[in-house]
Amino acid sequence: MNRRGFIYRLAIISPLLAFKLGCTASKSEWELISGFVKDVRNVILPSGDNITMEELSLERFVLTMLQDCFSPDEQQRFFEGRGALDRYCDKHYKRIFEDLNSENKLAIISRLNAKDKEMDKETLFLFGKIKAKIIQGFQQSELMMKDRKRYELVPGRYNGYYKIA
Amino acid sequence: MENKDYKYDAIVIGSGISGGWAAKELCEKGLKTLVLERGRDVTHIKDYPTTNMYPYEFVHRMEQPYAVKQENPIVSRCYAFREDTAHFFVKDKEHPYIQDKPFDWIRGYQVGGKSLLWARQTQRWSDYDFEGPARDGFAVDWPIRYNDIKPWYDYVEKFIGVSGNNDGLATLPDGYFQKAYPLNIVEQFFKDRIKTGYSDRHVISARCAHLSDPSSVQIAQGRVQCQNRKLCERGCPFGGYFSSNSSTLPVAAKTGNLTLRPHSVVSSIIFDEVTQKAKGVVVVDSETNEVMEFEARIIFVCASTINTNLLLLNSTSASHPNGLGNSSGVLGQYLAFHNYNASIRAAYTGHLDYRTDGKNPAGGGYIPRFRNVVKQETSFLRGYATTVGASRPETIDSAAMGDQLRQSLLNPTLGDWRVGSHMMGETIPKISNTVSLSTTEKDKWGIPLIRIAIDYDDNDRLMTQDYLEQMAEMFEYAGFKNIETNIRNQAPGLDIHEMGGVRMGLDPKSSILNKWNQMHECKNVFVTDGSCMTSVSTQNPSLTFMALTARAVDYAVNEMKKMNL
Repeated sequence: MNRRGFIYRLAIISPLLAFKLGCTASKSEWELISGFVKDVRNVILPSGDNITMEELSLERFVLTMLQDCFSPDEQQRFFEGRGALDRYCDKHYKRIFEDLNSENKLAIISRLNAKDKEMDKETLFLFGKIKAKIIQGFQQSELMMKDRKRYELVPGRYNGYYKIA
Repeated sequence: MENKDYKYDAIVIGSGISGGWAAKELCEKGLKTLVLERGRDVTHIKDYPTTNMYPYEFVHRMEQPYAVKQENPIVSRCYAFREDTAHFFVKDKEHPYIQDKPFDWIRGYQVGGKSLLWARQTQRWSDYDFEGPARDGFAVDWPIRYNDIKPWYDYVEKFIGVSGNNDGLATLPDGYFQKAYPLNIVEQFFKDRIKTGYSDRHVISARCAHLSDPSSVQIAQGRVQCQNRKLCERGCPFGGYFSSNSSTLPVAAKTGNLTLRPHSVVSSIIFDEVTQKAKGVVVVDSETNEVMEFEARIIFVCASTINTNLLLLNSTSASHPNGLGNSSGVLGQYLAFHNYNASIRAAYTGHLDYRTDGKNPAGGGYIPRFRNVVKQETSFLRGYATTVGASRPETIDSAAMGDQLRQSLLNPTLGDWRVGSHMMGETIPKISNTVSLSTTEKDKWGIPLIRIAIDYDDNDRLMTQDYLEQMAEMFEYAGFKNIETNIRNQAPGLDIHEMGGVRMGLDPKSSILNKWNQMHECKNVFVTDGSCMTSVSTQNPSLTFMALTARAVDYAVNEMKKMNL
């Protein structure tokens, strides 16, 4: 558990949230972010059009990228953004984010997606990176690149005058 | 040393683009040749572990993790250093060096060297380039002119395979080309517009060492047509682009005259005070740390620009106390590079009923130098060539979410055309641009670390500004929109075109090599990598290194036959 992050989450919160966070204290910052990634993926890029998103393991890719490809400073912003999300949920719903029902999660993620200025800037930062990596993971999935032929390993051609039908 | 295993007709130090050529030429001429490569072996195809991998097969989709970038800040600045190519790059801590001024030294220590990683652009020099130092009063006069090297450009192009057009430009001599990769519709539009507005500026298809239509010469090497993958830095299983690994080294091996020894760090060249010639080299086996000596009648030094400087500076003897062949004192001085410090991009909203299909390995268009070509006409010396390329990327509705986002990703739309260019400026070799040996720090094999002090100057800054002004004007003239100029502030070295320090020249008092790339003061040593360059012009240099190498081998072997060596 990232102690600094945990203390940050405990700061300036209601007694109810403090109790709830106490109950989730065994979860590391990354576990909380992992849960958030799953919720964001569900809302941002749901299954449909004969694609079962769960089969693409996008959440695992996003978490790997967040953990491996960002600086400690950026990761601290992730933690702070995740903490601020719980404070926001406490203020408006009297619950932490992961305890919200689907409808309320949708409402919050929609606000994040709309870059609602009421949302904490670090939460918006975290959300923006998660969304970008969800999109990247989908575009660069085996399904899209290979099965749906959106990428050619061996094009074997170049046409600089390809007329669009 | 009596062991015949340690005696050869020729030794080649380095197996990159120059060393591969030296090996091929020497072996084909019947010389038992030892090629010493400091890095590991890389066999064509067999040792390209990532070449057939899809992006999704890489944990980070080819992006380098933060920890790798932190560990390797220098090489991480190279565009080609990715998760899929990292195994062909030297990591920062593996081989340290001292930056007296910021210098991003990008290296590939393996059999094939940077020939696996190069950008494959191949342009000939003209006499506007060879005559530059004498006309404009810098460095020293080149001891050769275009006619001296022209047959060797022909020779090399026929062997490696170069795609391009014969454009009839005095600044960029024509050659033996396979069919060019054509400009796309917007690049061609730009070319046509520039033709109407500028008599001195020409947009041509980039010339590159890719096989667009392989000849029997390349097919005999086991290479086939480029498959437009643009994954070249992983190593190409088709041999679609030229590398030592796919071409010169296998050809050399087929002669039966090649001995290739990887993991062999050459620490010095041994000078024989009696014969006044080089006797051989001292090698440290990088795996066992065993020190050994190899002997040969001639030595070709192709260790890459800075390492060749290092090796010669470290090759001291009673006759050459300041480094082999360095009575003049200019060894390690007058280095130069290419100024890649600015780029420009824009949008174009015409031709929206077209896009491209497949990939262009040549990259698009090229504009040869048009500044100060015939006479001095600007406040800065020399000039720049530029790339120009257009593409039409797909766009998605990134603000969407839910079903709308999924459908946008499944059905992306085409945006406007994007047009981009970057400069490739000639820098002036200066006495202040130096490499030297550390007197206090050594590498793990006991070889002094190299100190590098190379920098931009006011001439480069004026040239950069001119590039941005001229390209912005040309883009505007073409009707491109949203023009954005960018000064990159990149350190020298990131162009990966460092040259000089062991320059060719007419006078032994001011140069190290004669017109045959032969040391003035040690006749059986030839230097044919980038360190030999007297000036750097604007062209990508590798084609010239290859031509100089083949020419030098021809001369050396003839001299051996005459018993002059």
